[in-house]
Amino acid sequence: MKEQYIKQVKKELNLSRTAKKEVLRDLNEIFVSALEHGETEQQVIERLGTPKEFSDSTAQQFGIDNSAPRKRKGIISSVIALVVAAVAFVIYATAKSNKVPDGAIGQADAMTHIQVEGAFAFDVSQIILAVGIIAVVFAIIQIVRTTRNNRR
Amino acid sequence: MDNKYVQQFKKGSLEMILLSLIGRKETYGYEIITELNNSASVLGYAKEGTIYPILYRLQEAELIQCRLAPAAANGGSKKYYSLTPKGKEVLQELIMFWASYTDCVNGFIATYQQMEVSE
Repeated sequence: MKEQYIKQVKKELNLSRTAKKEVLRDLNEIFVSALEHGETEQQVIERLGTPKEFSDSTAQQFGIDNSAPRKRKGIISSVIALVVAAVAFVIYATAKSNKVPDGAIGQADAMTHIQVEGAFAFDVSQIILAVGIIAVVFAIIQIVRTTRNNRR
Repeated sequence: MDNKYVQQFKKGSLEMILLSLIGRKETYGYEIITELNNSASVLGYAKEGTIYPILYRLQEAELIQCRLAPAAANGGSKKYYSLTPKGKEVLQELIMFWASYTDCVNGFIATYQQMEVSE
């Protein structure tokens, strides 16, 4: 429980490497001292609050907004998702516009009766469209999440 | 009593209390916490989450210093805090200020109480 708590704080805490090392060492001492005096790990954790609360309030004392990198990550991933979506839609649109009739071979003008089984069960352009839609949904989720965190 | 005015008092004086505590003798985290909880119940329950951040700040301001000493239990280490010369100076100033500050506040309280009695 203690190891898990310290590990979680290590993940959440956004400080310089030396400051972080210091905080984690102290956190370990907090646990060891309390256990020495007959407290349980559970009691210590209740006093410390969640790893996130502990990390945020500690970082605040160092004058650092602990949520900054999370915000940045949110913004970067939304932008990437939007770019992926745009590229996917453009590819889909161009693929659709010079679409050869189904079942045509070598872009012949006329239809043939030879059926060509694609490498995939369904059309590649459909896959690209699906990728685009997923990217848009992901981008929206990321944007909502990032702005909601900002407001808090 | 735990309203926001009381909170403000506590917040403002905790640094001075910690400096006095550490100035008395070299001490470590858990000892500070238990000391506060045993003899300063009016301040409310002291938590590591409140105390350590202040210790970091005091250390950064070079008012306190610390040394690591190996602890008996499971090969860990304990951090012992003490005042720096600068910390002693600042504490002296704070003590002096606190004296005139309480005098001033008490003065206002006294005039208010006198008025209340004469009414």
